Amino acid sequence: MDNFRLDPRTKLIIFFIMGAAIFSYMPTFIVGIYGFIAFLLLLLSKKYKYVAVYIILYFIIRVTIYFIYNYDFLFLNSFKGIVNIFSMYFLFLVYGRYFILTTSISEFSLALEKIRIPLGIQIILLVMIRYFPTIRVEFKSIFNAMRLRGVSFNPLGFIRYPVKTIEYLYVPLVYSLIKTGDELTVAALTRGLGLYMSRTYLTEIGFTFRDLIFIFVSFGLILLGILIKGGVI
Amino acid sequence: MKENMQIKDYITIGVILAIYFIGFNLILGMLVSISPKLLFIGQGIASLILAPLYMLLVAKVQKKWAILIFGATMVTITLVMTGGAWPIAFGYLGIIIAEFISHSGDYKNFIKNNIGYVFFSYWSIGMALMYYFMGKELLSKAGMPSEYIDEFMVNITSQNLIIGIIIIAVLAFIGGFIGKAMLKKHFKRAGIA
Repeated sequence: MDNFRLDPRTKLIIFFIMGAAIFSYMPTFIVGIYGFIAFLLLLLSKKYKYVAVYIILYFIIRVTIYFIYNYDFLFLNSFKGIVNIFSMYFLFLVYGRYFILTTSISEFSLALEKIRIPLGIQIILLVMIRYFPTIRVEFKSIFNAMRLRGVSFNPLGFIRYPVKTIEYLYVPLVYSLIKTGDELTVAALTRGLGLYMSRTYLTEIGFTFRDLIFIFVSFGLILLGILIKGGVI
Repeated sequence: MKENMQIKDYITIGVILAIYFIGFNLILGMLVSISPKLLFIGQGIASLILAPLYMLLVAKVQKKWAILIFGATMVTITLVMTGGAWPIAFGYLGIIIAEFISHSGDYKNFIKNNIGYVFFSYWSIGMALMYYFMGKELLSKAGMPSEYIDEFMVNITSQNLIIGIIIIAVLAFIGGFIGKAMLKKHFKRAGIA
């Protein structure tokens, strides 16, 4: 396997199945196998650094859970809920990282087109995805500018001058929003988006045997889980 | 003048949606991790804080189905991320009502838009409803200790549900006013709202 590649649609299907498994609280070992699959995918895609980090993180969580549950410090009780919720979402963390690292926007866009999502919805999803990192950068800039002006963003200030704090955050945010929207629109229209002919894609995606294996395994696992929960096995 | 949705409108929806969705989940997540009792009130607070974005959307894209697409995408993403938990689908109802109310005022009538926003704010109530309908089962399967479950479920009663619904409505309504005021003060001159 020189370049381990999964079709983006496969990744979406696996994502959905994992979500269903977690939120219907499948038996733990099944979620464990899904976790193993997520780690495996990261390994096969040669993202060793992330694998190492996430394994360490996982051990930290397990150790924390062990301590919180076996040593009865009263003030730790409120942490039980948070840690449990976090360990539940851990699978999403690992798999989500795999998804983002290995799927380019072009691939994802082509996948959306192939499952025949209407153009408008495609644009919305792609803009959202593309805009997430930008938001983080924008917020940093806004906080920096506020600090420059001597206005700091802390809970005390929020309670004393709620409207002003929100205003200082919102006005630059909305301006950047509108500006980004306009720039995106111009860029898209210049590239001929929205004309009533089909778009040309430079990337290619397609199902391979690998995709089928992963889909079958994921599906089989959740089927197994349903059967176990239903008491058949 | 009611044309169809253009690329420009979809992009506007996408950009506002990104901030609204992330902002909502962040605020709600922070509030609920402070105290699970804030499950309903947290949605109201988040709706209040994010109201200007909704008002901006209605002001910028005054086309049919804009609100529906905006809200339906959010509900659908939440649905996908929770693997198809059915109570989430209740969210579609509020969004459809919001669309029709705002549409009847041609998207220009502020009171109608505000009332529409109140109904819109129920888009995420599915998550809370999930705990209402399937709460005990969910939490016990998650392996939470039973005192935690009892302590948690005590908060989720029919009475609290109704109170929560009313609080969300009130906070969203106030948020609408704040949103409109902010738009008027800052953006009217710029010709954006």
